[in-house]
Amino acid sequence: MVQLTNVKKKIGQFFLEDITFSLREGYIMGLIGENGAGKSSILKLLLGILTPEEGQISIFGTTYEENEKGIKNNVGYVLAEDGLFLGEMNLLENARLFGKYYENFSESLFCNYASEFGLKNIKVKKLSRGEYLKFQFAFALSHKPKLLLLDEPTANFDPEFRRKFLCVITDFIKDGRKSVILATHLTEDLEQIADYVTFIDHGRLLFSMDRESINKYFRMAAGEEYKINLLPKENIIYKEAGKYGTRALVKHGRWSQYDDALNITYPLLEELMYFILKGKH
Amino acid sequence: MRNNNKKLTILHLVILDYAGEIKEGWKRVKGADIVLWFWDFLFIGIMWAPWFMDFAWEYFLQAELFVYGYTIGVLSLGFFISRMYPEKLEKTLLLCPLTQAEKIQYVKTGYRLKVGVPMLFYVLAGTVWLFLQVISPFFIIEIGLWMFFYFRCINIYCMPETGRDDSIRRYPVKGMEIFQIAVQLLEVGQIMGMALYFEGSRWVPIYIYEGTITLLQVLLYIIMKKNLYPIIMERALCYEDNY
Repeated sequence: MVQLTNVKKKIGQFFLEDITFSLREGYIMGLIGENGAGKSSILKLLLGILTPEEGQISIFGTTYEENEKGIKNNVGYVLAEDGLFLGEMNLLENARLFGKYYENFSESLFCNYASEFGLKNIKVKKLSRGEYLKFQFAFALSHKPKLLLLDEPTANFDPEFRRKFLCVITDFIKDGRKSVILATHLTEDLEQIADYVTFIDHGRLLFSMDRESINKYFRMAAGEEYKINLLPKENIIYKEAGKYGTRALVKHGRWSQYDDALNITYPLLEELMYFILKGKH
Repeated sequence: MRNNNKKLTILHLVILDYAGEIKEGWKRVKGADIVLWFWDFLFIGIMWAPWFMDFAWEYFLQAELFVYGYTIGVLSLGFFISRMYPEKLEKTLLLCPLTQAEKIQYVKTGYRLKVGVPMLFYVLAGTVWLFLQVISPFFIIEIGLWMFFYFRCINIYCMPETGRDDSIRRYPVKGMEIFQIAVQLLEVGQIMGMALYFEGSRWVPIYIYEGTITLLQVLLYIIMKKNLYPIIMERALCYEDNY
């Protein structure tokens, strides 16, 4: 469904270099990385509002050069930017206005989502940050896209809506023909829903793999420092001594063996992100 | 049918885009660069000074006073419009499933509307002046006022190159600002000349002078029209420049 091949892009002083990853139909991908890592830029490339200098972006088996309209008809987005809708008009008026351009836009579907998300039909300029993102989300869903591109929406949602959001996302891909790319630096939500994780750092791709592979290749080891030091040095990505022991992210292989005294777990995405970045820097 | 609806929608969007900028435009008018304020308002006062002076007062009619107010009103509106940069929806439209042709249609509709509406005001003002010329030579001022207004219209598309920073402007013609000032200085000459040669027998040189300036305007207009579209299109259709 989505394929980026050796994509390069210069945006001011920032470079995206050799970004390659793919996402199949029916899956959710978490795009993770620190603030300014390049997540939003990748989403903008996927939305066709930035053009790669090198490499290729293929969505639904076609490119923006070949069929921009076809792609955009099937892509829904939630972006962190302001000014995407008319502040002086209410939600329904905005949805009607921009919905006209989408072949599959359904006003009733929009109303249902807006009501489900607890949105009142007020002027867009009067929406809070969270409400504005909810509105974008409702609008995105109401034109029945096949691909949802979401840029850090959850940080602004209240805990109750975050759960609903995750349910809606999970529901969205249920038929196996739709996909979601969710960019965030808050990995907690991705733990629950992401099938694939793509990790970006300073415009470079660190890895893009499915959750099984992450669990296959990485382990968190916790215990006494000297026990961790007994692990092969080349396998330790980063270790950190704490008050109650030392923790380390280690490369895991089929033949890896660990001291019984060590607590070995699958890494959380947050741990993975933290330890890889620490190890790298 | 669908296409017609879309055309309407695009026009609708352009109007909304423009309307949505009123507040922002007004904010920019307040404390806008003093040079423009000077040229747009103070200079008009200077232009009209001869009519308030005794030697020309005999030509000054009640109706002219009305037109003076009317003109200032229209020019103020033109100035105000020039402070509006309706480009918000261009950003959103880039995300919508529009073809390149539809996007170009949006930009062209916007261009026509943005330049056409102020021009319409000009025509309205011109019509009043046309009637007035029957009763007074007053209409000559029209040329000067038209030029102010015209440049304000053109300024609508002299957009900031990046973002909305007024300090970085991008003109369709190199050295346009200098040209504008030069032409406006010529207008000072025009008005002063008119004041000096106001007696009936000396009209011919003034007409020649005005005719020359008008031809210069037409020439500039042709150059601008040729150069404006590519700039407008590039700006509107390139997200990276636009953002």
